[in-house]
Amino acid sequence: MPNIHPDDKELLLQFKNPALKERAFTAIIKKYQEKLYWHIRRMVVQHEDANDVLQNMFIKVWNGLDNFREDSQLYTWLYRIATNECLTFLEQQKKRLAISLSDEEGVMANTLKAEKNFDANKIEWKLQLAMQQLPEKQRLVFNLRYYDEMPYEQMSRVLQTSEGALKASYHHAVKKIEDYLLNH
Amino acid sequence: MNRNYEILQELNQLSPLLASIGTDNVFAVPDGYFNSIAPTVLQCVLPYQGSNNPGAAAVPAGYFDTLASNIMASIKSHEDTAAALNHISKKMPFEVPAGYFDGLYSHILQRAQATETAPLPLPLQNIDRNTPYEVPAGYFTQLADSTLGKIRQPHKVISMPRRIIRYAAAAIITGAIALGVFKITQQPAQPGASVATTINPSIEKGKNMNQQVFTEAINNLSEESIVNYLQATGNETDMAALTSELEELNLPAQEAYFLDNNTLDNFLTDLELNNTN
Repeated sequence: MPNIHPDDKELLLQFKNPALKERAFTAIIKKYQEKLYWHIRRMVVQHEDANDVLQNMFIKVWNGLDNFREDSQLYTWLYRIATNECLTFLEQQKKRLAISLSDEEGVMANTLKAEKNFDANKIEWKLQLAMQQLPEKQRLVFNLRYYDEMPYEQMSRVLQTSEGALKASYHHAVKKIEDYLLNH
Repeated sequence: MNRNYEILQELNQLSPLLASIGTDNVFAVPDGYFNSIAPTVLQCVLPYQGSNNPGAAAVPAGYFDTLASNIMASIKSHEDTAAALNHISKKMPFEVPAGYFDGLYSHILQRAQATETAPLPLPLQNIDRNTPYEVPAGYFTQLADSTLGKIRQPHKVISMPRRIIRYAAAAIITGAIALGVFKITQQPAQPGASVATTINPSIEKGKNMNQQVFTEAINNLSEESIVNYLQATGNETDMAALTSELEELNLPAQEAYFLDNNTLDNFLTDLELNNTN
């Protein structure tokens, strides 16, 4: 049976009430945790990293939710924080492991291959490998469109990029992935 | 999972291969992970809440009840450590050869002397100590005098370059011409007040003569009257002549002065030749 989550406006209202704050926050986590987790996981690949990023992201949400302006959607705001956290994490990882730009996709591909159920013959895993060939921002666009089925207008608010640029980015990403799948 | 029709259509147009793959998840997540996120995050953020709100309970329950006894226990522990250290002998566990410190000074001195008197390494012994550089003969004997001479030397007078003098002369002449022209053109147009009439009434008279009569009149002028005339009005007449000459001539272009230093000289020479002809 699907979970019925309270409305965002209702949750935000409850969050402003000190007596209901924790309960409202728990409800916000439960409502968005899976979508955000998978968004992060597809970017950082490993579960432990995704878990760290997700928790950091929710801690930031807790600290910033009081100042959240309701002129934008909570869902969009959460995705934006998650995306920024992903990019920060990947940047730090590159510095920590001293990964150069050319090594980056190789390192991510090896991380993928080390996953528990990895099967090089399965097209879904091939797709994941193909996605690692994309630049980070293009990968984000592909993830949001392909997996999260996010409209460009909403994606534009999450990534702070014009819809035209996002369409072009998605188009390039699809072509690169198709090319990879046909040649590997 | 039902896929968004519009997005699927878009993907189908871009890549039918990708559209056929589907969005099945390949990653694994530990069992019960999603149930543990909210409590874990809350555990992390609750101390933050304490720091944001000083009035809230920011210390563990019963913290102040046990604080005094904990501090006392800590002090006692430090005292025990100090007491234990006092009982430890300060004697070093390391050993030194017998009589090492007695002979140390003389040993160091001996080695220092040996270093001073030690011969140079063989390759250096064979090299001449004279520097291979040469100094002009008597350089050092003259050095003091030449240095003092330079100090006492009077300040150099730097003369103005010839080129600048020419430009200055050109500027002066141009200024003088302009002044002359200004003076002539600004004369009041009163009868009998023109340059010519004030200089000599015979010039005014000459204006009404035809060329032949004028030439005759000039020829009949005595040398004395010409000298007297030039002595009295030479400057202004020369200026008037020069002005009329310049109006007829084309002055050299400004660039010509920069291209050729002799431009002004040549121009003045030409002017002089024309006047004398």
